Amino acid sequence: MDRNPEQDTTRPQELAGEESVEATAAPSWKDVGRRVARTAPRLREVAMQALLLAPLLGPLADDFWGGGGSRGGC
Amino acid sequence: MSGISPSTTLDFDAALVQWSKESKILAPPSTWLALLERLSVALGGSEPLVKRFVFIWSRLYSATLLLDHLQDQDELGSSWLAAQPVSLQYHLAFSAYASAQYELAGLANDLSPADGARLHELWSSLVLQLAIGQYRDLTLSSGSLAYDQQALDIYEELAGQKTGAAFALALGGCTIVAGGNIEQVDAIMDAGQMIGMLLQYQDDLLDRAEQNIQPGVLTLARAVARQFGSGANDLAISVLWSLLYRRYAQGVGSIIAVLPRSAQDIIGELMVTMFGSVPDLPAAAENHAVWSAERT
Repeated sequence: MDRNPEQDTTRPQELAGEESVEATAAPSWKDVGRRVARTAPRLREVAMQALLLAPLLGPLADDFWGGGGSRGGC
Repeated sequence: MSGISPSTTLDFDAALVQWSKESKILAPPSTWLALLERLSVALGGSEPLVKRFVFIWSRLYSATLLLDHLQDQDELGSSWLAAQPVSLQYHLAFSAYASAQYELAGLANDLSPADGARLHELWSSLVLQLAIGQYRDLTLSSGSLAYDQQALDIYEELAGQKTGAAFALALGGCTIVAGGNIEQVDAIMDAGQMIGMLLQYQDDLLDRAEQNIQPGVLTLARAVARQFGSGANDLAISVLWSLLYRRYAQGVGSIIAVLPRSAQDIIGELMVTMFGSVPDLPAAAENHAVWSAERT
């Protein structure tokens, strides 16, 4: 059964303290990685699609680079 | 170029700025920095604090680029720096990290205690990821992979740990300095992570002609060749970039929907500045890609 934490006098003090720390804690990079893995396509899947698509696109292809070229990776 | 002779001995502070000021290769473009500042201000940040954070991040990023270029023996873009002994070049990279850390501590003291603590924690954990990612990159050669099927997964992880972490830190830090809430910081860090990974992919694909002098390094084109048993031609590489950019742009767009419209627009502008406009793909190809994605 759900209990209202504010009315729960048996609730340990330490738990309330942990939650208040959690509320201001910095985000974890591991959490970022997990969320991005759910949102971004897997590189191997996109690479496979590109290899399959390239021969089909040959006659249509022009330049897909889009004019960027920032060159700042490390 | 500043006109300072390569043989001139500079004091510590002057040496620290000389190479990043002189080299366009080792400094993030000013257009990116201006957009990061605008993003933080749009989220409610005070301009002086925002400018300090963006300056500190740019010093960290320059230090990382310097280390990477030294380790890869790439051109440094600064005649003064190139003329220094290698030991001093490495020391200047270390010094830039130390200086950035010192400046960050000062900035954190000027934020609320909670935001200062969040910024410290974010900074230290993501700089550590950068270090781990670079270590893995240096110790992993494309010939040492146990299974070819892992090549693209490992490359993807490295891109996330290196440039992904650097941009998660840039955007996340801008949001913390602006006093952003947890939901905003999470969303913007995810977007920064994806933007950084995309930058790593693009940089690597554009650099592939010059990568022949480093045959042991795991690059994106080599990871494709290892995983699928054959090299990708220029057209396949071009299509790969097109698909990656389109999918990542869609992903970033959905992640940042929780942010104010002005912040969303600035992130969109940042992506166009970094990567150009999202490339068109013929409708038939788009449909084929969606179809094959659904089957995998």
